[in-house]
Amino acid sequence: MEVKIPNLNKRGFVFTLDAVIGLVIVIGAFVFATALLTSRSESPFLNYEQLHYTAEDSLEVMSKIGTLDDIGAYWAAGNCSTPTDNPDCVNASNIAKNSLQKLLPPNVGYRLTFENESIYENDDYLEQTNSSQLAISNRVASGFSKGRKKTGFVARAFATKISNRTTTRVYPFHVSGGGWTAKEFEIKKNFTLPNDTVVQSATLYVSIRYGSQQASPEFKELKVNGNQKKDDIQWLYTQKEDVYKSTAAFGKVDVKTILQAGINDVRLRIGAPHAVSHLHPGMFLVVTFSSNESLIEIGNVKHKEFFDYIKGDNGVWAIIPYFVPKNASSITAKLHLEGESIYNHPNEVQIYNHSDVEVYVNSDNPVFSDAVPNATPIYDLNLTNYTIMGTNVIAIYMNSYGDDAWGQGTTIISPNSFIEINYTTSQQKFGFGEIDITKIVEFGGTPENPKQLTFNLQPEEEPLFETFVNIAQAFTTMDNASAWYPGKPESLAFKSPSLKAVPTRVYVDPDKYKGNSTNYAKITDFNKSGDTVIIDKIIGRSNVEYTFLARVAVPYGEVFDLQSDALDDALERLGDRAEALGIDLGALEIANETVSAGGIPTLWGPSRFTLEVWQ
Amino acid sequence: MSRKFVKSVDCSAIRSNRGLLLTVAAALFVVVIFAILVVRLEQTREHGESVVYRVRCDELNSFLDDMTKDLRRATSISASRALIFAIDTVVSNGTPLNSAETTLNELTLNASFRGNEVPELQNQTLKNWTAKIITLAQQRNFILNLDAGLMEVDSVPHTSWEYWARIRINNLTIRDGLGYCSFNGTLPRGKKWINANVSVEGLEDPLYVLGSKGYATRIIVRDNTSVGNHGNVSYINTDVALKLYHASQDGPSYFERLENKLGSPVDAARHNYYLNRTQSALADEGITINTSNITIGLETFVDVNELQTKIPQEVQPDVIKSNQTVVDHLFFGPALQGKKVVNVTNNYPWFRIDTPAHKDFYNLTAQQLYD
Repeated sequence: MEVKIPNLNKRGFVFTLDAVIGLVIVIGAFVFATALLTSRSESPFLNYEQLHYTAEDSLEVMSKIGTLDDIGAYWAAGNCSTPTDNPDCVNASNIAKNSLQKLLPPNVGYRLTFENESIYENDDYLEQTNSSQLAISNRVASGFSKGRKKTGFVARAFATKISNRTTTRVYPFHVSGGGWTAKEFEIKKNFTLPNDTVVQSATLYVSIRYGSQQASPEFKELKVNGNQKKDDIQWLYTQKEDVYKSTAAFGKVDVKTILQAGINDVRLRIGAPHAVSHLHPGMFLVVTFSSNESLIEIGNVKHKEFFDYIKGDNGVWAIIPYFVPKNASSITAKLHLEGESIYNHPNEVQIYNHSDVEVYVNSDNPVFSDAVPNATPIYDLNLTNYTIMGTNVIAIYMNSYGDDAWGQGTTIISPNSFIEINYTTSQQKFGFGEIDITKIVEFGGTPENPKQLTFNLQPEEEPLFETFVNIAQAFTTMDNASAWYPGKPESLAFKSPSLKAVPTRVYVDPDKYKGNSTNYAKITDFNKSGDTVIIDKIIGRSNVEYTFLARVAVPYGEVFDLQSDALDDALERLGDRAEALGIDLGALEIANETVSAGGIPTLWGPSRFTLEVWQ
Repeated sequence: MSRKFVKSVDCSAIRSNRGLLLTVAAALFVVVIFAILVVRLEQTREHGESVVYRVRCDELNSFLDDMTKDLRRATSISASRALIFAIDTVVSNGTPLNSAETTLNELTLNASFRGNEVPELQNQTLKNWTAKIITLAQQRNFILNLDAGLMEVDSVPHTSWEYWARIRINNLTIRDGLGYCSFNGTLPRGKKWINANVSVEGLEDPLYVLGSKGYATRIIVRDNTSVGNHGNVSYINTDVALKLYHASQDGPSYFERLENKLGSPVDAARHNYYLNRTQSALADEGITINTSNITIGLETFVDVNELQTKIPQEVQPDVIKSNQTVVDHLFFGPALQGKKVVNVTNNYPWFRIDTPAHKDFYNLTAQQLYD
């Protein structure tokens, strides 16, 4: 087709139009290229990067200001699985919601999880299933565990005898008696309980020989602090002998309500006009009382014990034991003896082969005698060289020697008399927080001779501090006491040095027993020939008394969410510990001796918080 | 005719040039567009790689920061539990620690005491923490050489009321599983130690238990009234009644109390040792301070009546000295008699305070003291 150009002006128009078209194309290309090059990319990487930093920064802020801690604490404490399980879970979710709404833009969806459990999710803008990009940020946080509070309490407990340290003590009466055909024998015992004593129980065991062919008018009096108790005795064992028609009797009487803090006195008057009225081994008072004072003696011991007031017709005698524990050193022993109404019997040595006053120590040969005493003799005897470890027995005879010799009229061993023992013990002192615990195990059963006790010592009861055998007996000749444990031979702890020299209380070397083991104790009554005396019976009220030092305490236990639970747990464990020791925890004052510490964290986790942000 | 021919030739040439021009323009246009697209695609690809790199490295960086922060928390928890065990050991057995710092380091780091594993602390150990951190790292495709053996713990008194369980991880290596980035070095980055605070408030005072031979105890409760105001003796009465504690320069720190040490002057060497340790720890934080300006000690008034009530009589002579000052670290030390304080001793007949040291410390005047 031919293009007709009408004239030169039209040709110019054509060129111009072409140029314009070309220019438009070039400019269009330039603009397109520029737009392409300068336009902000809608690259998925860039969006992801933005989401990533948004998630990271949000979680970082929540971590720094402690919001994550609060959320974790509530979520863990509530044992939550969903945000609506309980108020703790709701709290956790609300805190998360409030924080995230401030930190994240509105054009994203997000979810905060704790160990894969959703605490809060916002899909108002977009559901995650419809999202094209997802950024995930994590934070680790230690110290959270589901179902547990972030911090808790631990507690320990220990027993002390504060304010009212409860103690059981045995106050023995010295085995003693009047002369032959004594119409009356009287013993008066004074003993002192600490001034702050509160008596919890008190039983007086009465072990006597009295009476005659008459209708037993000879039991005249048993007064405790002035209160007549002779008709209240519950007789547990009686045994009559046929020759003189006297009775050996063992009984008990409750004296709890009439004992008192401070000085107490017990007065007994009996008669046996055809024989010898006297006490048998086994007359003692068992008192359980609470007091701040301890009666344990340790270190440099100065023990001074005054005698009972002992009065008999036609003479008087007494068996006085004293004890020197194993490993004691620097021992001295002194006897101060005062008599009253002593009769200077003429020619008694020739007649009876005995002096008016005789003192025996651990032997059937007198260490002292006085054939010409005045009416109120006073003697000071150094017994150090006669003293042995364990139980020592002093036998004092004034105008009397068993059934062989006697004087006339009233004879008195004055209560001004005393035995004084000094020694230093290297025995274990109170250990850290230890308290002294005394336990008594009765032989039990029917009267018999010999009589044996089998008992167990707990592991915690070792080492023993001191041990005794308290003998309760009717007719008595001579006794020995032995102790041992399996694998060891029977070991003699005491043997009467002479006739009737049987104290109520006998010291036993603690090493003769063993902790965490069965143990044995045996009492045998025998005659000078060594044969067992069938008629002499050891009564079941005889007992083994032992004292040990123990720390009744339990350490810190588990971490509990509640202080009360921690304290309860500590007390329960303390109870178990006491039970293992055979201690009645109720008898110990433990108030204010539980200690708890709060704010104890637990290294649970670390757990993981995850924030997912999508678009 | 020729003129017409000329015109005809010219028009043909012009038409030919115009087509060429349009063709070239179109070709240029296509080339430019294509080039731009190629460049743009390349840019996008490179940027994508860069974002992934940055995100992964940022994640690794955040993970290290996260570890650092949580290690502080984990150490604080582990050290708190360790401290409870240490206290229990002392107050239950009556055996002071030879070195509180060494014992606490071992308990915190290894959950062991003198080489023996402590069952009560198991599942509470930094070893447990490292195992779980390794799991978390694996979940995020990080390869980590974390092991408790790389950790170092240093316990040091910070103030009277708290100590620092300082921890660091030496020779830590972590790398991104994609190979983008890695870290090798000590955590924390940029400082020597992570300082985990462990408070002693609310805990038993081992010195009081040891001093009372196990028969009494006391919890550390801070007196918020400055000692300088105790010239008003009502505050002293409150201290005695509530059994409060004061920060004290000469008093033994909690570490010393675990060691049955009495602070200055009785156990001055040990007290100075811990003061120097604190000074050194503060220096690690960039704080230069003289030991005379550091207070890590504690003191409280002993309740003598409580001791007389709770301690068996046989033991009391070993604990209670006549007219002894009742400032605890002096009361449990050698004989040092104190004076009565007006309006205090009439409430608490056993109350005595030494002069001039604690008379001045509590801002009492000579007129307030009497024999």
